[in-house]
Amino acid sequence: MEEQIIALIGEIKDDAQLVLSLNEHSNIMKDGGLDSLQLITFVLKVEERFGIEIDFEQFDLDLMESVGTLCRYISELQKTASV
Amino acid sequence: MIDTRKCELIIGTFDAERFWRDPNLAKLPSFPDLEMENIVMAMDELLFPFCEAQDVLITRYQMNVYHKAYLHSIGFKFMSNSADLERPEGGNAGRNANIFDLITSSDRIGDADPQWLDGARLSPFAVIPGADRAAARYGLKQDFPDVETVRTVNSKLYSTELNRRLGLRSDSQTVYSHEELLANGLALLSQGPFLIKDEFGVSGKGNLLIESEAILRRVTSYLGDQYSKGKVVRFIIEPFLHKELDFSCQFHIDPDGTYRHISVQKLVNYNFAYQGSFTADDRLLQLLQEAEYFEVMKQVARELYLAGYYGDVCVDSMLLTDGRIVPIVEVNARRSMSLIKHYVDRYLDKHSATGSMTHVTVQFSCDVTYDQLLETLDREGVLYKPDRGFGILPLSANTLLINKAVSERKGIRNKQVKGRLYYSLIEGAQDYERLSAKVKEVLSSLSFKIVG
Repeated sequence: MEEQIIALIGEIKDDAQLVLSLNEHSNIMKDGGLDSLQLITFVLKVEERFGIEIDFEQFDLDLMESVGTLCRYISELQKTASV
Repeated sequence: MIDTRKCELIIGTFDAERFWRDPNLAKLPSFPDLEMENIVMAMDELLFPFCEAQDVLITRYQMNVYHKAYLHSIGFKFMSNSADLERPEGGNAGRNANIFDLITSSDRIGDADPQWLDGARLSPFAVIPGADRAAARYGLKQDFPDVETVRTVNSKLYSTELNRRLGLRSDSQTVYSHEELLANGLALLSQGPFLIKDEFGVSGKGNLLIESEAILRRVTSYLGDQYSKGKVVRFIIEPFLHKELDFSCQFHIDPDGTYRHISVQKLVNYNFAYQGSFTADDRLLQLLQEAEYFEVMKQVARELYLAGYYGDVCVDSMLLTDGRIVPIVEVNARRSMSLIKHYVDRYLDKHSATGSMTHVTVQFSCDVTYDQLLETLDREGVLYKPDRGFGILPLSANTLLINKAVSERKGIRNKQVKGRLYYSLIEGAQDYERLSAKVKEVLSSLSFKIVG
């Protein structure tokens, strides 16, 4: 999942080099360099890729503090959705 | 004695669209970026090129003293307030009040001399609600159109309709419900990606690129939820066009309707966000002449005047990869970043120099001061001075340091924050890329991490 998240960031930033510099500890907004517009595109793509639905109004941007943190959040949502 | 009739009070807010937008309209999905909002609120310092000697620039946060001293030293003459109109860490109350509300609700405009204000002319960046009240409150001369007219002509609905009225090819359509968005969006999507545009969206905000049916359905459902809560769904949709170049035309409509061309600026955008403005070259101007582009601009001016608007205008246009010119992408009936660049160019022209305007976005946690930045740029030989003939001319300081100030006033030290430095890059006999790289090297040496 982490690789897919990093690939999505690279896709949105259109920067193949960036992908090589990111890992599970990278901050999605700061290290990934996503601005607010790119962030919404990123979240919509995350929803599509992982079959989840994120509440835009309640979404906590702290979940972007690392790729790993976001992956854990996605896994939780997937588990909830499958119950 | 100063002849106050000739003086102008330069003031404005760069997120004018926020104050024109009907709060009852449904919104595209978005996440707030509070640090970026702080930067936008500090951008009014970029208005200093509009000032002439004896003019007063009023900014929400007082201008940085070192920045102001530098600007004065290279020949920009203006006065500005030396107190904040509100506390930078003020929070939501400040965000909801535009700069005209701030000065109208207080007894004075910063520390501006009340005697000076009497009879001075109010020169706003954009006519937003409250500009007329502020003028009346301080006895300022106002010769700008009423806010409802300005709101109407700045809507993307107006730009879309204007294309039709002038018989120009337009791929844009307005949708009035989430169901219509889904139906028309699916039809567009069968041809390729398309854009959903907010009526009052601005560069980098309020546009959404739709590339898949799943995302379209998700956005439609999000808007449907807002509709069920009483919001009005109204957006412009258009195919995503493959652009060769974004450019804009600046002109002025006099109160008697006379059209005055000002300039054409090429815009460099990256992922919908503004990166910089460069003066149009002869090749582009020739292309526009041949396509009778400037005739269209005169028609736009005539239509705007008939609608009741006069003042500064910036029309965003596009050159597509297939060679087609889209003259009216968006009408901005206000001053603009490109107009600021034009005024900086007028200053540079007096020193036989030319420049381009750009910005760099940084993250930092260090305690660097603006004085240190200027000193380092100077020591490295890249701070613009008329006798040097090249370098960077920093156009902003608060936009770079505002989030640091907010953080420190909240008692938080060493927090990594976002900042943005706007500057004009004056090439002179130097190489553009090398000069640009040198500026970024200086910023990095001061522990600014460049993120955009």
